[in-house]
Amino acid sequence: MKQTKMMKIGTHLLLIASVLIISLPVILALIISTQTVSQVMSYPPGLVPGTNMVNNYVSAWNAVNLGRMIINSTIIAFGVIIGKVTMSLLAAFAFTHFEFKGKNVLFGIILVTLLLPVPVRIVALFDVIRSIHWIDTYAGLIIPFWASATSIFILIQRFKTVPSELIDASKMDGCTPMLYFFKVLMPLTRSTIGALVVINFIYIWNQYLWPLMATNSKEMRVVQVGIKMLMSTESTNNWGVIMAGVIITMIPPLLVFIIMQESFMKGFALQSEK
Amino acid sequence: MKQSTFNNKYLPYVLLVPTFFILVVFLFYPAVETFRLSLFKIHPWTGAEKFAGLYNFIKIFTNGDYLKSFILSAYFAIVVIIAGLFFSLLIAILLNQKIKGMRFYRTFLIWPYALSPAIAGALFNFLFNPANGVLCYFTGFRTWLTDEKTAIIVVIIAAVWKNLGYNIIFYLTALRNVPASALESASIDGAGPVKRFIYITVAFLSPTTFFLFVMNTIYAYFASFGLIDVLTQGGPAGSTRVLIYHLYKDFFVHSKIGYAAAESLVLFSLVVGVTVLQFRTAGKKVHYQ
Amino acid sequence: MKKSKIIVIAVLMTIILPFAVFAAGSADVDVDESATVSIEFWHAMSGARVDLIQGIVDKFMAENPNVEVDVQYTGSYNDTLNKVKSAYKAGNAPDIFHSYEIGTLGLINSGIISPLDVIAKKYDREIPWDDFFTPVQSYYKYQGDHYSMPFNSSTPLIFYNKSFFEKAGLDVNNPPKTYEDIRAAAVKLQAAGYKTPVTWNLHSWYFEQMICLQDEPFVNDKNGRSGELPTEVVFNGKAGQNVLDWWVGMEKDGLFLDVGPGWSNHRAAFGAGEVAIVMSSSSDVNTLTAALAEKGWEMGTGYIPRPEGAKGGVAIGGGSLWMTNNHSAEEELAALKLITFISEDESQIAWHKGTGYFPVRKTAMDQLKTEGWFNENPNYLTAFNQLLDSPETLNTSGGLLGIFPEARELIQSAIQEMYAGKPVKQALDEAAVKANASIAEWNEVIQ
Repeated sequence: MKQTKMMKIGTHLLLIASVLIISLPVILALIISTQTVSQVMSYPPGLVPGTNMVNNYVSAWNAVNLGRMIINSTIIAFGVIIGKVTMSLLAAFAFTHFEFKGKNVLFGIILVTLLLPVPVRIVALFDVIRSIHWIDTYAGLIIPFWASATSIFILIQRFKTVPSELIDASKMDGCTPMLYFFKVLMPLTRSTIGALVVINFIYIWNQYLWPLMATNSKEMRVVQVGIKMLMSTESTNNWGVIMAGVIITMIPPLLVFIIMQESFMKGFALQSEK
Repeated sequence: MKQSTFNNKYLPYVLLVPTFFILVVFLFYPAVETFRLSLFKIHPWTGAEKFAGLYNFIKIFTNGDYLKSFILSAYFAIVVIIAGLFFSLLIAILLNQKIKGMRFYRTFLIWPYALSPAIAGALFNFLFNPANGVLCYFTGFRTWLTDEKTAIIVVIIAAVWKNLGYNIIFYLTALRNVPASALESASIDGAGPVKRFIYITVAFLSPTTFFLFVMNTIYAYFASFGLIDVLTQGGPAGSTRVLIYHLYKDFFVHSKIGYAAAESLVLFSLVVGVTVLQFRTAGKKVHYQ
Repeated sequence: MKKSKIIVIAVLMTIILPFAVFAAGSADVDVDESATVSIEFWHAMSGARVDLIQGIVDKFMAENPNVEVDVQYTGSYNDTLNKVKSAYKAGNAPDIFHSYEIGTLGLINSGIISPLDVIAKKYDREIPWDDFFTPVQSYYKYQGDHYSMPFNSSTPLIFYNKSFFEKAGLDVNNPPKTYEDIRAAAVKLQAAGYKTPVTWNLHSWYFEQMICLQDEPFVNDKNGRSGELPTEVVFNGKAGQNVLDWWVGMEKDGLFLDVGPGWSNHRAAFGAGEVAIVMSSSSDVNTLTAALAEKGWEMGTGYIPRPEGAKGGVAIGGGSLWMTNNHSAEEELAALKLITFISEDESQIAWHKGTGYFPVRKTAMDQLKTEGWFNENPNYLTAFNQLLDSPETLNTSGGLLGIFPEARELIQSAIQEMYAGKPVKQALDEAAVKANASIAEWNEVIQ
């Protein structure tokens, strides 16, 4: 009995230590983001919170127009999510609720796309986007990401678990396929869709390579690229301001993550089952 | 069990049109075009093309810097995978104990997952930069990011740190699914906790471990770009220039388009390898269960 | 609504037309100078400089009401060049764009630009090159023609902490001038308690400049200026070794703090009082003066160091403005006028005061002197004098190389290898071999 109690305390201690270690970079960033320039610049570094928090956050916000970047990242994230989820729903519906010629071939083609993440086709993708004048536009950052094998697979798994009786009953009621899709299938799939939304939000919000290449005006930059711009704007490494900017940009995905944690867990579970 | 279907000749095709349109324009065409470009020498400004056969492939594979980058990427991926899986399994086991505050701990252990690689790069740059890095001071060692031997260590730590949450979630879920009956019967057979862990738990975790191996490989090869671009730009002396960074430089900075296309194909063959492995083992997993 | 517009245009026409006919009369090309025309101008200057450039362009538009200029900040130099590439292929390249100096030979051979002097001749407009500082305009002159208009110009400079110099018993008004001076000062500073008293960021630019200071070339074929494409780099010669023997030697002896690449760390170390001597861009005068003033220290500046007796000078760094080809005569002329306007005194003085970059013309400089600007900002004068003290040779005009950006990376990697222990000569030779291989490939592709 005593031994288990000791074990429990030990587990708590280990967990607390892990939490502290994992959070350390951000705790230090939070502290530095409140310090004045001379505190930031002092060596050895001081680890007490300073009084310059508001100034730092305001400077970071203004230095690279973070507000605009947050809007861009949000527009792009939702633009991708809406298109991706809609198209994946339609495709998954086609594969699960219909028999048609070439079904297996078409499914195989979708399977193949798993082999083609952005980096392996970036050279020519950039050419395509350029030739249709989509460099530096929302379209260039959104539309290429609308087709997703992973999302289609996840939805196919979900749709397969819908009892056949529901389809039979709908057919008997003379329900058209699309009516069934909207009235029956969609409501049943709500939590899976939720999981897809949150996972894709983090994925798109955190993208870096493609937005770096496909945008160049400051009006079109996204937050991830903004971080690097902020670092080069701060000519003397004022980490107070830079970390303030970093913290601002990590708030949206963190909020989504913490609030929607259960959706995440579900989404992850679905991902590994694909 | 076969699912009932609707009878409609054209509707399924209509439903698939949007997806296939995107696939053709933004996936298949660029993929084929990348393959084609890899066989050409291309003028950096006008785009004029000269057929060059395997020239680009020969060039990259006889380029010492590229080969170095190739080996570096493999080393980086292996260390990130081993360290990442090891620490996340350890934490997942701690989290799987029946103790109070589990939800709190879980949230605060997995949250770095929500951060981007670029943010991780910025944070670790702040911690380790040679001018006024906080951890440079506390470790009494300044040259973390300017020394060839240690810069890669910082990049690995940052990469593992960022992805820890993702791995923990999967291990935690898998641990919960280890059937208590299996552990109990082993325990009746006289197996101690260590033996139980090795023979029962590890066996049950292997599909998850394999899945994470694949996902972390992709992460290490591709998602590390943002981290490296913000943290080291591939330096010092190329010691953190992984393949994806090399590709970016050759394509986007030095306009060596043919080279970059050939490098894309190298990465493509890597993805093919990992994916084939995944499907083979996925088949086994079904047998196992 | 429509009517009033027509009236306005008619009135403008009657005012402008006589001048236009007069001006056009002497030109080789028939061009309607009063026609309404809109042009695009892309630049790579971020932050407060965006507004500064917009201000200059607004003035231009006020003086030339028929020209509408769309100014855009298009990201870093590299982003801007990529964007120009894309736009050119798509047939909508900007009339004017901004590039870094090391892109010069690449652009000359790109086939997408119109040389500035050729355009000026075409429209019979004289650009008073005699009024430009020699090192500034000679960099952009190739085979007798100026290809682009110098815009943001800077050189490296030594910055030192006068307060620390005083504590170490060094002469605060006599900055170190040679390699030996710097080393000796560093030793004294170290003895006075400044652990690693010297630093600068890992950047090939300093290395290039210090080769110019020895009046030696960077590449073959007359430093890339013979008209032939250069085929080999020569930065691994004696001059390059001199620079790095000294630079890396100080690092090995613990006098030099390696802060890595980028433009922040060395400024931060200087601002924090960790080091007493840095090398940085002359456009950093304001930033660094302010950083030291914050701590109550005074800053001095000096020329970048050379080996005893070396006779060369600095080459100009920074960027210039280029015109793309395939535009209508009206657009070309408007672009030419804008480029010329930007190089004139009023614009240049505003630009210098706002950014710390040199004004490119002597008359602008004289005006600043008369204003007493340098009495208030003596450190800017150091940079000017360093530039004016530079003789004009093919070497100090600066090397031209198509793969210059890549050569820079190779050099920087080589220096990092030297820090890690590789012998200077070996690392430089290896970098040269890699650079030469790239040059051969580039020369083949570009033709």
